Amino acid sequence: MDTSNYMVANSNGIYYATSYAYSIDSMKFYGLQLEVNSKIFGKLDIFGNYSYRKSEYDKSSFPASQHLDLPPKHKANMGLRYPLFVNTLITSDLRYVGERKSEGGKDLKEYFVMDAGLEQKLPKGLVVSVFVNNLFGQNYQEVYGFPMPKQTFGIRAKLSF
Amino acid sequence: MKKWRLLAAVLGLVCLLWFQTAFSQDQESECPDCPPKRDKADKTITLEEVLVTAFHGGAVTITPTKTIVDMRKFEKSGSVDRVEDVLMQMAGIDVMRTSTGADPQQIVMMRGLDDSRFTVALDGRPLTTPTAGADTYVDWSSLTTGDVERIEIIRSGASARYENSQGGVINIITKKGKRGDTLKPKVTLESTYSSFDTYVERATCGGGIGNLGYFLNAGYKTSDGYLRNNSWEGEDYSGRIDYSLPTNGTLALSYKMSRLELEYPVVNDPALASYDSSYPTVRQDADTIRRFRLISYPGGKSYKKKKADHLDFSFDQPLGDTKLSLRLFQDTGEEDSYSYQRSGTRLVQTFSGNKDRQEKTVGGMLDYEMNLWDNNSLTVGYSQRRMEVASKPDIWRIQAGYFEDLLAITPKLSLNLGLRYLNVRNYTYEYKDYGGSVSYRHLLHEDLWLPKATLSYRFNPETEAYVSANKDYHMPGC
Repeated sequence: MDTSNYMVANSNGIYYATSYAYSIDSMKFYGLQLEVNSKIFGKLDIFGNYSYRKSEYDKSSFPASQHLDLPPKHKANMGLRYPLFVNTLITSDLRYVGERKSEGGKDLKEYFVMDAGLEQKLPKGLVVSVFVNNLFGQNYQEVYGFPMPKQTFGIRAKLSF
Repeated sequence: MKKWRLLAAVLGLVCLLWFQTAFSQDQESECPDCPPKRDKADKTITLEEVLVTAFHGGAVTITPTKTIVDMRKFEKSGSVDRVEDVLMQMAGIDVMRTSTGADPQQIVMMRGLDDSRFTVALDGRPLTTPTAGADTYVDWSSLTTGDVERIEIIRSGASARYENSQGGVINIITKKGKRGDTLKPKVTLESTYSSFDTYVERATCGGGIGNLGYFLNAGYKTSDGYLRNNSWEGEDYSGRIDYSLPTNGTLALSYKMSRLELEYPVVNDPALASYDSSYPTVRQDADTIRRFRLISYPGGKSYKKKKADHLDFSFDQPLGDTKLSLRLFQDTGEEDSYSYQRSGTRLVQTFSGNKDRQEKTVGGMLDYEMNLWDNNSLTVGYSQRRMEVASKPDIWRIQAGYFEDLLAITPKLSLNLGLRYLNVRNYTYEYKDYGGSVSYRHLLHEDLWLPKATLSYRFNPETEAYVSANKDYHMPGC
């Protein structure tokens, strides 16, 4: 994508004395997306994707990278579903987010988060599941300065009739 | 106590209805709520069906131009209660949150573009508002999934039907009640409890008889949150009524609302006297993310109350090999925001809200789809939206005429051509002219022609390549 007069607004934050709008003459975006659905070993469902993105603009004319480099260059997701028994499903969702810049231009580390769950179908339309997010207790931040929780646990019940 | 009362009521209802229905379970089809395929999006799927691949019984379907998430089948290792819970798993979409709940400072980006540069649509009509009057272009916290049938993630701005879609389109298709021979509804009750005293409760009910179908949805959520001053509590409701006309047309009326009160995570820095070691550290240089907001500090009020309402009316009428569709809609959004934040060397209590943060959008779309020829489908349409903030009336008037033509040149080669004529009238917020000293509202007009072209070639039933060249326009916002 090639965008002319790409308007950005600087926040009235601690990095800037005032807020102001700025027009970047030319902003270019490049990217690649791969998505795959597959079933392996007979029963293991896989949904995966990979995204690459890059933006280019004249950094000498616009010193702040705010909002322009927030997304990572590399990102990948994978969802796994494995029916352990007829009514029992193991789920796992994995997310990789590459290095990024913060709004203030600081570096944010890459992270890898794995969620896991177990779902049990019971009679009469009842489904009970338990899950843990961030199974390995990864220290990570999606937004610079705000730590995300380590392992979180949950239980869900759903009844349909 | 409110959450406990709701939880007790839900669980009580579960027990009651479970026993009542113990011997009356229906053998539902795999897709009990599926409406008849009827819209343009469905038609597109049909055209591309040889290439479709599906995940876990159809939970995620990939086609060359879009990814479709079936919310009846989509499960995740964790709570799936808002659209962003789904989007964060998708290619090309980045969700950045300050906490795991409904997050006022979250940002969603698509192909590297923020949410002012892609369109979020509800049943094919735009939700994204360039006024950002209620502090957001899209109120993501209001987009709960209880009434969502599927989410279509359309890559690129190739459709002439949508405006402001450089990054693509996220189209949220809502559920319709399945009509049957009795008034017996299909009911779903769901309750989730997780860390930080987080509850998410939801109940849905859909059904219909004769010409009438209905779907109702109610949700409640609350949490203490992970960070300091990070709790939230909210509720959402939606309802839809469909009526089939003797002419095979359909009238539909729907309403969706959301109310949320949430605290801003505040600085919890060991370098400050206010540090509380029982919470994680949040330093003073944390990102602000959303424009014009400073990070909040402990000691004052730092929270927001947010409201969103969406009212829709639609009329669809098949006319031989053609179909006429009309959509009328109104969106209102509102927030009152308190933040205890730094001003120079002092901490001050700030507030934004009231009429400056009350926005309204009224719009309509008219589409006429013609399938009159072999290997060719033509759609022409017109749309108009008007947007304003209570303190700044009549900011935007956006109208467009468009056509899209899908031509199958050969069984393997197809061409999708579109053209959108866009007329934008912007009665701006006040600003000073260059070198001027007085701020005033400027009246600006813009006329644009936005051509679209996509050429697709199917090498074999499993491989297709396409090249798409499109011109789009970004509403500059405020």
